[in-house]
Amino acid sequence: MRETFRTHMGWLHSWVGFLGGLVLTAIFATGTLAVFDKEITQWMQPEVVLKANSVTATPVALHHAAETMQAEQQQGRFAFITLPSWRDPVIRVLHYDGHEFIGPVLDPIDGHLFPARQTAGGQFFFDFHFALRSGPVLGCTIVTILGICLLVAIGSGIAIQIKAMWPDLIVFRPFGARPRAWLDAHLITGVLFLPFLIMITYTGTAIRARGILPPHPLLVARHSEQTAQKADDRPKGGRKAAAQQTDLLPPPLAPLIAEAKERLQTDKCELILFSKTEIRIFRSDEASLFLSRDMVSFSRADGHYLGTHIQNGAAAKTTQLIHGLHYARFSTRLLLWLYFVSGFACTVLMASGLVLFLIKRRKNAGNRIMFRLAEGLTLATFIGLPISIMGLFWANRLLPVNMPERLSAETDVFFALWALSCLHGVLFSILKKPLIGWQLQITALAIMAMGVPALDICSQTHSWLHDATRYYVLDILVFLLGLSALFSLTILKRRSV
Amino acid sequence: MVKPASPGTQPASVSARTKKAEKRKTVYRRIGWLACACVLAYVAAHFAVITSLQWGGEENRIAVNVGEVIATALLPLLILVAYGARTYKWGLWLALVCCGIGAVVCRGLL
Repeated sequence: MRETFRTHMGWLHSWVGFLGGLVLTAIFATGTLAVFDKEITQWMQPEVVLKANSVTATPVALHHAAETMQAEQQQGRFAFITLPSWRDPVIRVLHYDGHEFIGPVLDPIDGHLFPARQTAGGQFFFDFHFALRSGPVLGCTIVTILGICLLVAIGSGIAIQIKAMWPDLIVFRPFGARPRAWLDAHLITGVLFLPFLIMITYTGTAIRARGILPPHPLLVARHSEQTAQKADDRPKGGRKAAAQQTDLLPPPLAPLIAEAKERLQTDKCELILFSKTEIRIFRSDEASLFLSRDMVSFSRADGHYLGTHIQNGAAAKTTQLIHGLHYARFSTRLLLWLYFVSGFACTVLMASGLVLFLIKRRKNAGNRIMFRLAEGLTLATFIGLPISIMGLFWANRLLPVNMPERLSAETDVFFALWALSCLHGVLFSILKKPLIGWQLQITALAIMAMGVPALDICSQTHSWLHDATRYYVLDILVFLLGLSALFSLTILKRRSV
Repeated sequence: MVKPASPGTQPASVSARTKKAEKRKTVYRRIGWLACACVLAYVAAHFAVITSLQWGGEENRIAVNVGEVIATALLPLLILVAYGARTYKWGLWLALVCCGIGAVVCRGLL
């Protein structure tokens, strides 16, 4: 058997791409949705009324926010405040529940609490994207390793296709023979979005690189430092002691925010953290491409200025740039849409790669059980994931607003649907009826996706006249997904005849 | 009467079996080579991070972040070179040399 450079790289690309791609497709899909995490959260909390002009919080609203934060801290939660921004013009008092940042939402004008339903919102996709909902250690490590796998797959893909890059860029035959159409889709998205794919994969992996690179002395030192700080910050003696120590309301926040803006030389501050002794006000992530954690500290007791922390220098700027490019929080709306479209194209790239892998091996290995399993899993990734996302939206509108443990019920619906899709796919594949499996799941996707706007209209949980853009956009996008599923179904049925 | 096989030819089943065994052997060899490439690339990347610790000065944490950024780029690149260049037999040697240099730099011998 003659072994050439291209056969080596082809083998590496196929196997690393397929095995990693099964999870990476889901990571990219959820990452793409996480670009609009705030907007999805707003769609999922229709009780929150957004006023586009209210991007600055009034002193009254800040006072109410401080009270709410204090009440949260007295319950033993590490609560903090996010200030209104152009994408999310409300005040949020958030805490980390192990997966998402959730908490009460306040009006930035008068500070009243919105009776918002408990939901994971867009944060769910963010958490799944970077930790597969398996926590910051295991989940992040798996995602980072997969990031390296993707970089290897990209490199090997470039190596085998470098000579034909220009033809790949302009040739797309969607109505050609089946392998040809899938290969064209794979190549055109791969070549066209290659710079974005490399940038987003590299920055994402570099951000979490500490998870896979071996421990070193600094890590130990830092860990012990953080543990000591946490122990210092968290009151001893449990919740009772916590309540005693956070009894004092922090000083008025409005003057502190104004001073922080002046010291940081910015017009936007977004995040306010409260430790036992300090109030830390951070520069907004939207302020610049460099995602810094520049902040000003004030005393929690009387609000006097304690210090400013600004990181400059080439090394710090490099890290900030990597974070900024990946999180894209500096973006204008147009740039956010570009991230979204590029992320979607990369998801299509990976999904088409999975299908290509199966098509190429069907003739020789089609009867093997591993092939059948791979086919079922591909179906669950390709169609099952969008079905379960639609299920999450359905659950958000159908579950009672005041239901206890509502958040986990929503996410349970998501995972139950995904598991069901996986079982269904594997079963039909083992029964040697994969085409029927695909048709059934695509039908389910079309019905569920086209049902979301109808459900949104029927539930009438929000005013369609007041700031309804977020509803229109999501509903239209989901409807288009349903239409494209319907179109794919007709093509699939025509081919099966 | 059984007709003897002509010299230089084998029955089809034997040929297919040999071909299958050869293919399996090739795949095992590829996996082994890839595993070696991964280990060596990982060790080299690890040394890159450790080296950044020594050059960090006072702002050690930021220097380590940059070390991680470099190591993240180095890791897939070395895997690709070490595995891909096996056609020309120098892939693993290159990765091994990178590890050696990393080890020497880390020990402060340079």
